[in-house]
Amino acid sequence: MSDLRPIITNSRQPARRLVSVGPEDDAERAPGERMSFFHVNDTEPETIGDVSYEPSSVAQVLRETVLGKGPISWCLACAPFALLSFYFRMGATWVFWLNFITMIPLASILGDFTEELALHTNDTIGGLINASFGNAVEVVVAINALLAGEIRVVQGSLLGSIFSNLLLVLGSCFFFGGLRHQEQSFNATAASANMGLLALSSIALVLPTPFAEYYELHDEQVLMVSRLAAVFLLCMYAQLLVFQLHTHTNMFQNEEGEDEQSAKISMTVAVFGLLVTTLLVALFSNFLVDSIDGFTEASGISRTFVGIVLIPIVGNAVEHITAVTVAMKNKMDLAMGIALGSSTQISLLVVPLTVIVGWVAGVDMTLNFPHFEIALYILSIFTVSIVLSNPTCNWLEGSLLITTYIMLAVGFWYEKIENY
Amino acid sequence: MSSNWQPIDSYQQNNGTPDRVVTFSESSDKGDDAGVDSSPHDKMNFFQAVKKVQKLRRLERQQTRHTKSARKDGEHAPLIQDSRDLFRGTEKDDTSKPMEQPTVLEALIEIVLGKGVISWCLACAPLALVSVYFHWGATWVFWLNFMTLIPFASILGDFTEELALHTNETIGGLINASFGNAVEVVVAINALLAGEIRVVQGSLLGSIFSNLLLVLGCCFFFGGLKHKEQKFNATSATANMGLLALSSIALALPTPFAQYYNLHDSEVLLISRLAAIFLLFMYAQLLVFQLHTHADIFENDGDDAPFTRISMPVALAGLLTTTLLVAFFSDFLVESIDGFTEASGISRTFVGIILLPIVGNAVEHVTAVTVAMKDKMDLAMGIALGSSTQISLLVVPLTVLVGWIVGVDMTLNFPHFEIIMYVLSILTVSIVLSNPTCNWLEGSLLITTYFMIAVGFWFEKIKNY
Repeated sequence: MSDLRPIITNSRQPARRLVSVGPEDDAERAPGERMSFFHVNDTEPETIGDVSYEPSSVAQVLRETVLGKGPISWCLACAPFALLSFYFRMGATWVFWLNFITMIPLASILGDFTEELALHTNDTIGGLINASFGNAVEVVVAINALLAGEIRVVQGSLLGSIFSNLLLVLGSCFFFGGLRHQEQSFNATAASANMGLLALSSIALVLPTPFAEYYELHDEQVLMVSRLAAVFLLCMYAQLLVFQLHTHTNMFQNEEGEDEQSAKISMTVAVFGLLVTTLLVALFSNFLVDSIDGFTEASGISRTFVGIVLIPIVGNAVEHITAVTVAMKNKMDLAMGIALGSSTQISLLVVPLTVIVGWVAGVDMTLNFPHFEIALYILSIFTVSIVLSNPTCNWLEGSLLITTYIMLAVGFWYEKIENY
Repeated sequence: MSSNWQPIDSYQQNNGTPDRVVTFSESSDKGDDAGVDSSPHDKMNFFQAVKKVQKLRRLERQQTRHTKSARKDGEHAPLIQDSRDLFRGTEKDDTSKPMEQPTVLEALIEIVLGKGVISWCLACAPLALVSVYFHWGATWVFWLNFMTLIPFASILGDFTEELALHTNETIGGLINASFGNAVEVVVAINALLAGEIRVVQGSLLGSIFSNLLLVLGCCFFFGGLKHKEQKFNATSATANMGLLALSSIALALPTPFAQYYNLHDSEVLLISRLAAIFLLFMYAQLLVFQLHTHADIFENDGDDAPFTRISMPVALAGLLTTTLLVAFFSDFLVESIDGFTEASGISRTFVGIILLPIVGNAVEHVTAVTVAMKDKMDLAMGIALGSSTQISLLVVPLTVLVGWIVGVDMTLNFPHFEIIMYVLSILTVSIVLSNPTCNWLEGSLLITTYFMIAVGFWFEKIKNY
């Protein structure tokens, strides 16, 4: 029975239990066998509820969180180099890539601390916390870029995150899951609810855009329309939370009543870890954003491409791997919950949030996206909704979505925007 | 035993049993919803929905009339007959009790004044006349005529229903179809003859937006607040959406040409007129489909001689009189738009798209929401979606052709922004309807969409129109 997965809470905890990329597997592995990059646990986790981790100390847990992720944790080694490259001015390209790679594991660590904090509260507040911090990296990067006045990068990174989740992650889930299992089914209700909300957000994005071009609106009115639309979107997001966490909670229950894992670290440690990681993310993303100028000049890659295709990888890489692994374990609802929920969150929460933050900070951030990007956004939603209209999926649909993403990327590679 | 003939319908999702052409069900007079043995939710086309709502209203009136006559002396009749009371407790077919035939006068008073709050708006009628002849100022004229027209829509609906009852199913359906949106047609043609093309386009598009987003959204929202989750038949919903998509192509057709390819306006006109003919043709086929070739026999619940309150000549006379009155007051309304937009600063587009459709839609809106809260979502959706389909397939091309005849250059050349909004609304609604259950969040989503579009139109200022 495929039930509805939490759309927004973005809780990766059930997914995390199924994915083991770490030292716990060492004991099970036969001698001589190499550890694969994705270690897919083929055995169905029947005894999920009984699994009890017994961390002996906070230090061990923290070590597990930070270093226990295999290749992803290796990326942390770039951190000191990233700092060095910035302070010794090693060149924009180096700064960009080193900070880029450094941030990927930080996203994962941030997610872990969020989970731990959420476990200390009840379902509702926990869902709220997961909802708010689920895309913390995207929010931090966007606000950094906003305060630096890089509006194009902000718009690009947000739109790119949505594209990435909607097409690349979802497509990979369908593709790799479909390679393993001939056909997988999922719950269409949650999918269509998400798509409906995305369509709403697409209307919001379209709203100010034609005014700036077709009719004689001053930029103030474009700003006003953007800000009003942002307020509406945030109201919609609040209603979504009320819907999922209050009035219709019974639609989104954990299957088979699994016991929630007990928290591994205390609440204070979790909050502390969360704050520290967020600060680190802010620091490195600051360097990243600063280096974009020089990077685009040195490498010749357009600013749009950097925003739409490259930067979202930072926030999404880990989620991507998790979702694909889960999909390969035939838990498609879970995978889709992650992918679709993330894109809905970004479009309903993060995008209007940046507009409001810009309003407060005095930066003219609008929803005035280039027409090309809006058209592609709408067409992507259209394509995905067609694919999701049928409650089964296969590898071909996955490949379709991935190809869509690649075609978009090609388009953005060649895009040159004036007047931005 | 009544029989239900279920046609093989391309829309119907047969589970691979094409030999099941005729089904007999053992239903007797079990009430309204009995007799359909397939899905619990009927495929509700627009005409069936309208008829069903009319029947519910008739039953309620019969009941209240009966209780009124059975009331003891000294007991007061309720001063305000709330239209919301109309549907309370009408689940059973109450044909067993003897009905009294009201006099013509009683019936007319019921139609005109028996609608509670809405009937009070009729008090604006003399004020509206006074405001025009004594030059009270465009804002007063606008709003007074606006308020006057709202109850007329309801009265017109009643006379239409009475007339339709005197004819057979097919002609009755036709009459309902034609006069269902009479107010929109009259307002549009008035504006057309006054040369207010932008207002015409706006009011038609706005009617579609209002039905598709606001009415449907309110149905889902208020119904969802009452019942956690409601089901509806997705098949008929999809059929309607398909027709709306067709109309959106027609609306989009001339628009790019006027901009991108430097066509003369005469060619834009020609494209619009051809597209209008195709749309009307499609509408005629829709009528044939729903009233003739695939006319599901409406549940036979012993209502062979429907209870009509007034005779056919009276109904016809009432219909014509009301239509003339609507034309009269909408004339004043349209003339005052110029002064109103100047005085109030509201854009002409906003007046056309948001304000004018309220006139034709307010009553339908209240009816649909009330029905939805009674868990008859198919009925409510039939009204909302059917109305928007009718406007897009009938009224819009009709105005183009009327313009052709009269010599006014009415085209389907809508501003790009409005076309985009139209297409996106259809997309959003079709996504929401793809899943055969609904809840309050989806309703709120649609209502929010409408508000955002309204915000967009508030700021819209069109040049070259």
